[in-house]
Amino acid sequence: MFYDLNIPWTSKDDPELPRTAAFLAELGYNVIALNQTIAGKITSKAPGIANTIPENPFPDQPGLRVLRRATVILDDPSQNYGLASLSGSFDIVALRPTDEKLLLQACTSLECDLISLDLSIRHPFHFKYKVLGQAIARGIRFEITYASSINDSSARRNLLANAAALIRATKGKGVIISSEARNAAFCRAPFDVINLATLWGLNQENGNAAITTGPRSVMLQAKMKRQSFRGVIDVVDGGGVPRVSSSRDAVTKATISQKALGKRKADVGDTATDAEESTKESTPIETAVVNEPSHGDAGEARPAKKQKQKAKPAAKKAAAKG
Amino acid sequence: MVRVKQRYLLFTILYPAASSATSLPQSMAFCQPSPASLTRTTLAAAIRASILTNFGDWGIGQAGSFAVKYFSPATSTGILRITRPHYRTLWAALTFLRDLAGHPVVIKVVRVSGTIRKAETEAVKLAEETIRRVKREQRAIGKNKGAAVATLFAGAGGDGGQKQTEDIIDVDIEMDSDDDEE
Repeated sequence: MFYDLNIPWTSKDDPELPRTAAFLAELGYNVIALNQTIAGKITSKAPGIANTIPENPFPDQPGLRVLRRATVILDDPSQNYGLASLSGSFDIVALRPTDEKLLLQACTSLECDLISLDLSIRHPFHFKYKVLGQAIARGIRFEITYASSINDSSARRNLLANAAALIRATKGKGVIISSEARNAAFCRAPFDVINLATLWGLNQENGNAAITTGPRSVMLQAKMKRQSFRGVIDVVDGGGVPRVSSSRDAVTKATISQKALGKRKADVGDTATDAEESTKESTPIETAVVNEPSHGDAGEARPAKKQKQKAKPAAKKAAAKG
Repeated sequence: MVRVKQRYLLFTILYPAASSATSLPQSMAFCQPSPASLTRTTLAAAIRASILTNFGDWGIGQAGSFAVKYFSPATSTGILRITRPHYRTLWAALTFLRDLAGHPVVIKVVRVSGTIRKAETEAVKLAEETIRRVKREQRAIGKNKGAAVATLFAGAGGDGGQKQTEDIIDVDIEMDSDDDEE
């Protein structure tokens, strides 16, 4: 399963977006997230904010799972972002801090699933493990987006430097890679992306995790936060016995008991009294099998010790059944 | 004497901006035949240029000694050979390649292999899988199977499907003998 958690959402009528989705499916991605960028203050009275992305935007791509993600651009430390109201209507909530203070705030206190720094520009501060480690301890991942680096030479330089710094500061863990491709031409296949990651300083294993298990845990964690009880217990199935399968079980049980009886035929001949007692309460099919005379005779013709030994537990079982 | 270790990269060229209005089946929208101007030499020149822009003179010195062992414009598939320590550089240069012969492209490395034979078998498998996919789709729509496969190869230099497959086999044989000489 390969994940690309950042495809910018434009509009319903954009012809480029279905093409990008089809291309990602062709490249081998299984899950993509359509990203809606939100700048400025979010008021709690914004119920229609998620509705811009439909539930199933690409009916042509049955193999592609589409998530809905919101990225909030943080640019004012004093502002109160109503992030809690977002998590109800989006699958993933990401933050994009623009300076060091906001990055610290995002890492330590703000409620989110993902921190997506803009790595195509030069940042005037260093990434420190002390800050980033707090976010990783809370289960928040850092995102590296590669599409801008394919398009633009200076963005590529900055990305190389920033990604290397980020990977160094996070010690290779807690990083995910996504595309942020506005055009199908900027997407790359999963293994090509892993190769790029090795260029930035991730090893093959961590690079693989950055595009498979990392995004998956982001997705699942966001889901758990949203719909489970205190982020711990999630009721997947309300219980109850499904009808069809239970009847099937009954059938298989019946056949098994018949078979077991069939195997015991020879033994039944030896311990006739016990068997007869047990058969009194058993079904007509079972009695019919027991009463077959030829098998019983065959059993008596070879009175081996082993068979007798076998017969004892069988008789006990039969008695217990009765 | 220690043998020189090589890596063979099997790649396919995808055309993300290809118009879907052509007669190609939908599942093949991105796997189009390459234009006639794209040959082994022009491809090598484009890759070398990409190495130069991304990795500079140092990169050319390290990874510039690759060879295009095989390229089929019909299936847009090819095999590159590079010395083992430098295959990631070459791979990254392929990833950063944006256009070939005036078309926007995405190059996907399908397989990295230590022997050319494995890369070849993978290429054949890939082509078979593509044909199977098209046939499956055509069956779902209810069209003639043969026609669909023929349209796949129609774009490459005006040759028919049969001719092109023969070409591919020819090149494969050529390649085998090439390898034995080394």
